[in-house]
Amino acid sequence: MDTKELIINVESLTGKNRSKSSRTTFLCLGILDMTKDDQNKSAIKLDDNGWKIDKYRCSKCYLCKLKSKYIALDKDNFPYVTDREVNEKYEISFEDQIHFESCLADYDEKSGISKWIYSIFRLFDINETYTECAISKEYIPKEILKKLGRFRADGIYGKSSIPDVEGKINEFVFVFENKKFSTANDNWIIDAVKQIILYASSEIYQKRKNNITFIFCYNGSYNIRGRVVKIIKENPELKILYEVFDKKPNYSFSLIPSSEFFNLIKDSIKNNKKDKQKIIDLILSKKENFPLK
Amino acid sequence: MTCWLERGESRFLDLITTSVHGLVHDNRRRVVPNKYNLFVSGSQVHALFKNIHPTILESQIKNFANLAQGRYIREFAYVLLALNFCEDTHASHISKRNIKKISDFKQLDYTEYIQSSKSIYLANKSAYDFCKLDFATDAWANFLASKMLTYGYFCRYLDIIELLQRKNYEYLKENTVYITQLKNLLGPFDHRVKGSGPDFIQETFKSWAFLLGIIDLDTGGKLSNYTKKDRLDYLKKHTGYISGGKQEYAILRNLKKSKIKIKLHPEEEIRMISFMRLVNLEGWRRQYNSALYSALRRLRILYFLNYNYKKEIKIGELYKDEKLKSIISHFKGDFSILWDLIHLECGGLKFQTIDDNKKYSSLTEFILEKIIKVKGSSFLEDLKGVETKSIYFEAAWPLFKKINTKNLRIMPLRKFDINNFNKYCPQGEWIEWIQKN
Repeated sequence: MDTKELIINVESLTGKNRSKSSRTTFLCLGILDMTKDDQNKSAIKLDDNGWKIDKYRCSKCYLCKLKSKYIALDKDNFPYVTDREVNEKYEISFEDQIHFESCLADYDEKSGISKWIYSIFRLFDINETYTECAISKEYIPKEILKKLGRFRADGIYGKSSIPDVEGKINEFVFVFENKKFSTANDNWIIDAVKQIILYASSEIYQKRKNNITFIFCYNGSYNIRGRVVKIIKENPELKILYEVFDKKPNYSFSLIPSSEFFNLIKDSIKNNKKDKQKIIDLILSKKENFPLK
Repeated sequence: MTCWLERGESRFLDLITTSVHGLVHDNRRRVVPNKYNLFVSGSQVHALFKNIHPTILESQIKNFANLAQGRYIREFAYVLLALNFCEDTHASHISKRNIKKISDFKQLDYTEYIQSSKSIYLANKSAYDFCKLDFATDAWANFLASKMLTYGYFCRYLDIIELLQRKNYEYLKENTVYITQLKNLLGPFDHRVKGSGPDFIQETFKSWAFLLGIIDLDTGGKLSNYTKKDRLDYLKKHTGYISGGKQEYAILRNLKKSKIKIKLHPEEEIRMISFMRLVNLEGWRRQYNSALYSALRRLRILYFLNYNYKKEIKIGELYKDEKLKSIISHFKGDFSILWDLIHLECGGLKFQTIDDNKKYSSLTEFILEKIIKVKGSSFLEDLKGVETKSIYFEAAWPLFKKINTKNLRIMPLRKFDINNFNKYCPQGEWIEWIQKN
């Protein structure tokens, strides 16, 4: 097995010019680099004896299984490394999904859900995918920044707005805002809607002719449409979302919980096949009509 | 060339060491590396990282090099220049600019020297000598420390420690120095993003100073008991960011204040910040004429004072200087001589200041005293606050215009390395004239 087999190159678009930069890291969620710390946290290990997977660190994200032909699953569906190509098909259980979702809830957004979505896109061969895609505030109308409380007079040094993942395939562009689900407060939903307004109103996407879907993705399995509707009602500034989308017939909006993407992985492992069309179908099937009801 | 260092990553002494190894390794193969290649070569050839799996090491290096759009590794290239391990052969082309008269300066001729994107690096003898030394040995530490004690900006750091110790004792009856006071007083004070460089460089300078035995810290805790051997052992165990994560040099991370004993002192001759760095780089980009005006004024003052090393002169004599006058009459802009002198002090020079027979160790101290006179000794307490702006400079600026400088006397206590400086300074008849006494 190649010494780069279980490593992924995480590409991002940085700075005003959105120049490409990249980092390599093990596929495991929860890490973004290769420092000692990251190596300790990762289930995937590499040393002079080759690859190993420490099942006690494994979240069952199955990214390793999606990437490598040399990964089999044991009786508990934990992945392990073999020295032969594996063609077996596996049935991922509900328990496996619970294990994964609880781990995903534990990771921070960047190394958790965002890395996971990015990796799924890449491993399903949607190669024009980037994480942390900067949008300089210069590209966002000032009045929208002001209405959303994101305007700073010394704005040139203000932090960019950063879509978590952006993937392009054929005529579609998919822009993700990923959040950790919480029952404790609504801030994560308010923030996500604000972010999507900022992305959608920026020159970066306003100028594009593609079909652009902005996706609010969160960990869990429930549809949160009702909760989003309530929050938009309570926070009138969020209604800009409708105004921005109204003017752009090529824009759409989807709400997708992580369980839907996990189902794609389950399906892929069961059939030993990765089909990027299924990702497109999933996202388009979750399109919402505005105003949300 | 000598630059302002401004990022905390430059604290990692192992990465500095590996970078020098990379530079020498590449030069031996007749390759003159850029900042990326020297860092990569160094990390691969130097034994510090030999226990790391090659694939992981490759990833670590690549990731490190990409952080903050390459600013981390740029900082290491700047360290090698600041500590005089190499020449920047691209930046040295500036010395081919032949200035016969002041109007020969053209903006386009200088834009390529603002950044280091085209820079490539040639090791000097000291880099080869340094590579013969084992990491974290006494000889290695002494070698590095001697380099640091001639780097002007680091000398400024030690000067400010010494100054704050005296002032805190005099006004607050305290023996301790606060890191926040240091960052508020260090300078340079012309950063566009205030509180940036001088803030971040604290990590670097305190790590260098403590771990190489240039200062002792009397915190009353564990750090007080670290012998030089303990510090070097610590360095051996903590080989830097790329293998160890952000917690490296953690013993110093929470240090907020300490009694500090300076054990090794700056040399009399220092490496002064290079010509292009006499002005904020943003200034060259956005306000070229004003930047050039400041750089030329400071260039003249630099040489004028170097000729007057250890001689007491009136600041009024500077105003009478024909060469400075010719620069001023060409640009016709407003300026403050005190601000120029303070900027040069930030670069490592030190001007003993005499006012009404009262002596101050530096102009920075003199201005600080003036501020205390206006704001009271509580200003030293204010300096302890975490500010996003430079409160020293903000308090000093209105005073620059009020202080009568005519009879104020200064005595330069340090010289600068002219050869090193001139390698990165435009040349030609006019510059020679400016540089002559």
